[in-house]
Amino acid sequence: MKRAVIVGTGTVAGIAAVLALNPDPASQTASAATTKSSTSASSGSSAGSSSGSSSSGSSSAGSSSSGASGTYTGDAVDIGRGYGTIQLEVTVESGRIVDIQALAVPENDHRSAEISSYSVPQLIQQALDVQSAQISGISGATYTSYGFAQSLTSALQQAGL
Amino acid sequence: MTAMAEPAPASLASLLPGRVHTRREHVWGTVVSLDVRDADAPEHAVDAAWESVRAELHRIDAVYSTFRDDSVVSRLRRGGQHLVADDVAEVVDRCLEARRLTEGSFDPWCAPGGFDPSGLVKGWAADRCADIVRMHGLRSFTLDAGGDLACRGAASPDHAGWPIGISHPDDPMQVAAVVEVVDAAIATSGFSQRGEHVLDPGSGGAARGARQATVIGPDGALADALATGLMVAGVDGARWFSALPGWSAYVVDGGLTTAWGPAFETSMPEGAKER
Repeated sequence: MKRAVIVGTGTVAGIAAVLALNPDPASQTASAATTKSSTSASSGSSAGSSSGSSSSGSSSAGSSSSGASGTYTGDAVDIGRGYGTIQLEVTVESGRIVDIQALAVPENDHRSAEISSYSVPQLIQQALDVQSAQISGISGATYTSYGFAQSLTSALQQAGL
Repeated sequence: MTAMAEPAPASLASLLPGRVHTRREHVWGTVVSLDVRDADAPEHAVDAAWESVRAELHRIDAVYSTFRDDSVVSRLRRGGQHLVADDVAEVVDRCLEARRLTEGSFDPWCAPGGFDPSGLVKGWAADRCADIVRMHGLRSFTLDAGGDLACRGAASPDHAGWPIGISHPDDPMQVAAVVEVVDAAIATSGFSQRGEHVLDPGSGGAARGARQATVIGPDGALADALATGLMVAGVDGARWFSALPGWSAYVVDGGLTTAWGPAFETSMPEGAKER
């Protein structure tokens, strides 16, 4: 090991891991574009709609590649050990997540259902609140949050985010 | 330890890359995943690396699983002398080394049912698979073996390494701290939400030393074993842990959280100096 420094302490929403894919300096301009495109995308060009599960997507403006809108269904992710499957449906407006629905949560046994009942709503709220990407992995990760991350990531990839 | 502000939220668009290479596999009762960030990595190179990694993961399962009666480790557990492959001999050597370094807090020979290297194999395997990925020409990636990670290169050009969250011992949906891991391993041992426990070799019961221990250092096998050892020893483990230059730990012991070593830019705790 050459060097390792702490970059933050305290409580950081675990969901940050979901979005921590690759902060790229080149996309800072896309960030700025997102800020200005705040209009609701209820109609307009369908140039931005993706194939597959996109149901009502439409791009609010052709000038911004980050302004994806629509509803995207993430992969159904088997979290392993027979606990069950998690699958999310993500609604994106102008490049931001505005809603997340759990289409399936792990509930193959009583304990899994219990964990899902409190953890999935928390994860959804954190994803909506944070939309932050400061960590790239979790040491000691839990099954539920892992599956959540995978399903959300796949939905966002469909959204082109 | 150094307290820092929480990361500022940013918009999704600034955070998500155009290209993501992730792969995952269910094996050993957990999930192993690969996250590649090389800017110029062709998909076929990631596929080829992952194919080799998957083969190795399943080979390791067949050799080291304590849940398979026909595994090499299961035969070792039943006793007697066995001729074993080089990598098994290496794992046994690493177990001996870890037992010595932890003054017995990590002791695969005190496991119920006989020799059980599971507390070291996951981290050892993460490093081994990371070597395979590097052999395929990839440089910036993490190999996550169920929460024990081998981190290589950097998450992005903005980072020296990989910002990795340490899971919160009381709330599985939160992270307790974030550490930037630079060409190193990070492993966490703790009481998971699924109630899997670490056993104390001394008492044979559940470890009462710490609630959670995370170790960061240059070697995955040792990181995994040291995390298990610190779970058993608690903050008293600082006595032997402090003898390991370049290693860092984040230990939650009762209500007290301590962070030691260069990863946290702190010196060893007072107790460690008594050795």
